[in-house]
Amino acid sequence: MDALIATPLIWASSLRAVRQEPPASDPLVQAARGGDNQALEQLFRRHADEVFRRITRLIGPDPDREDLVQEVFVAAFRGLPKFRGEASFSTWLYRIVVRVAYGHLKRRRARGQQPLSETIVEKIVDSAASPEDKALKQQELNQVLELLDQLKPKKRIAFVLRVVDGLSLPEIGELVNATPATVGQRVRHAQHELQQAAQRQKQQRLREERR
Amino acid sequence: MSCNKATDALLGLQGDNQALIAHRRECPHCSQATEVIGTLRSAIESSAADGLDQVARLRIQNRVLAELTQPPPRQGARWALWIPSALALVLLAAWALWPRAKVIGDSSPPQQAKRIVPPPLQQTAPLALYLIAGRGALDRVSEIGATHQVLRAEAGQTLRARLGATDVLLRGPGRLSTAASADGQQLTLHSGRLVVDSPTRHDQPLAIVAGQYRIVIVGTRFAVARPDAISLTVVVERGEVAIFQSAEGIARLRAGQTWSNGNADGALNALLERTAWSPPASARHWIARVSDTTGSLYARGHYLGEAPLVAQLPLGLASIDLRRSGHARRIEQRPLGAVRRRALPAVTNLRQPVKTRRKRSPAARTQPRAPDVAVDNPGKTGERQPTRPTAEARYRAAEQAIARGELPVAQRIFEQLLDDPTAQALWPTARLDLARVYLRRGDPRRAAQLLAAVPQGSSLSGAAHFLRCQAKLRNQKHAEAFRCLETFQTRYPGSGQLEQALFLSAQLAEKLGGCRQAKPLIERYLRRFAHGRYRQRLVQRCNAQ
Repeated sequence: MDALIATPLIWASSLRAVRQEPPASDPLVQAARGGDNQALEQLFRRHADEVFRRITRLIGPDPDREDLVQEVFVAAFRGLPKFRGEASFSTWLYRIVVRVAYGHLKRRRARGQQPLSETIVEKIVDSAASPEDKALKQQELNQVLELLDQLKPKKRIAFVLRVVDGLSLPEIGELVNATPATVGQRVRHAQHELQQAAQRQKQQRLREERR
Repeated sequence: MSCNKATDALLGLQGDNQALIAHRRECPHCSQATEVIGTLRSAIESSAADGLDQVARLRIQNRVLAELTQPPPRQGARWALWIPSALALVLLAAWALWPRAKVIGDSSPPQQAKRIVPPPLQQTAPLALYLIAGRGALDRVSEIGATHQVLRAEAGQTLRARLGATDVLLRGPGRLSTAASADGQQLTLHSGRLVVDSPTRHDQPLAIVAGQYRIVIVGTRFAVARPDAISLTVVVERGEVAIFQSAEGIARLRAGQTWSNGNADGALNALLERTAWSPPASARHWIARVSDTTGSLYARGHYLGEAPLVAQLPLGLASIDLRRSGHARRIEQRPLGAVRRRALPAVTNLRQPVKTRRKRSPAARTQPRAPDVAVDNPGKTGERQPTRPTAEARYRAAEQAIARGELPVAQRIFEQLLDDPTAQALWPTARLDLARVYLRRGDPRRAAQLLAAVPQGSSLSGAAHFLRCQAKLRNQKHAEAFRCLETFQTRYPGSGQLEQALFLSAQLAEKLGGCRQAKPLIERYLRRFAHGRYRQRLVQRCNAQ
């Protein structure tokens, strides 16, 4: 378990390393700002996977992820003239990812919960595992995603960015336009709600087993 | 070690150390939290482990580049959606926050209540007072402006008041209060005997209110006696006097006629003869100037006739400075200007037991001496049995207790009177007084029960009706109280409590429907009582809003 907890910190350091690239000195970004289609394609290819993963972490295995990736890149490329180069391109892109993910979570919550399709869950679960392990993992994943869906979008994003991505509170605050103290509160509340929801889920499971 | 700190450390919000890690392992709550977070993290990471496949990436790339070639959506389209929403929101907020007057049965749009301008104070006849008989009798006189006054004459004293051309004489013990109204001057005789001499019919009529009765003076000399709360005698020496009960005139007396609702007071005729009097020439200069020395109790602009505080004051001049709440802030009390108060004689009529030794007869000496034992029945031993005070005396004692502010004492006496069949004649008034005591002691329920026993159509039904309204008011039944007061004003337009009823109606209307609703009632009050004691309170309150 401790090993699991330690992993996001490695993640965070890798993110910080990416963020430390010289900002506006990237010639690809400069070319893209000039309207070069080749440069845009290259930028897309460089960041598409990362954007997809980040969106998945923030919103879960949602069938709309590809559309959201498209939305992120369209927004980023359209906003390139406004990009001042004070932060790295990836940081700027990450901010757009967070904003798009937040908007999507809000809309999804307003529409109501929609169960994930089994095919997506099956895709995520390791295909090499035995059928029994696969079923268990699927069940576990479903339960975890249900728990996460109970959180409000702001809390969910703060929790994922802190616990999974391992970002510091000021970094998260910069991404979501909030103070570090506010972000800390959101993370605490999210953890508390998740724990309570997990307890309820456990008790319900026990009751069903007794029947 | 708290679980909150451990959880914070787990979430990386605060420092982590060995102690916290150890706590997380040992504490079941924290270990569960650790487990939940670990599960979530692994699940989220595993779900996001894979990136886009080649085909999907190419598809998205094409879509992005294709979309970039198209013009971006116009900002106007977004505004087109926002403007109606914002407008709807503004309208909703305006509807919610629009000040709405609480209107009773009126759907007309709320209007700003117009400023109420009371009619100017009418010039009322100045009151001059003389103490002409009794302890501290003197010829000095004072002239007091048109304010509410309470005059008290002690036993054996006679107060003479002059209201313009009208001469009023109060024989103690008695209490009289004066008030100016739109109709003119009004005197209320609470108790005692009164002689009124009105040689000419002046422009402003003078009315004497005695309980349910109202005596309007039309240029006459007559006497009124009110020995207790129910009995009333009127003797006319000159001119004419009309007696009204509520709105109905019940008697019109000419010179030499006497009217009484019970046993006529024979002393009134003698009083009329004895008190033929004119002010001494030495006192004329006192009438001309407004002085502040002799014989009156008043509070500027406030009626204090029923206040126990006033009843406790001795005869003299007291100026009472009132707070807005109606409570006395400062009382300046002065005895009668030139009265040299003699010390009351020491109480000497208490009999001391006298020990007398009777000689025993020789025959008695042979008898054994009776043992000294306490006797339960003193009557049989020949000792004097204390005489029981009469019902009237007890009633007076209760009234005095009320005047002193000793309400529990008064309540006990009235309750005893109502249980005493020999005091049956006093029951109707005792019921009313007891109901008043209950109301003042904050027990409107018992007051209402008591008032239900007062029969309709009796001479006390008006007072009982008003007390019922007050009981409803105290019970917070505002709408019922309002209706009750309206009925009272219709049924008893000449009642002594009309002013208070009008005031309470206006106040209730303001409470229930705001100043706009109260305005007609305030104006009604001002038309009827232009110099009334509630004038300032009603006018200021609504004009302030």
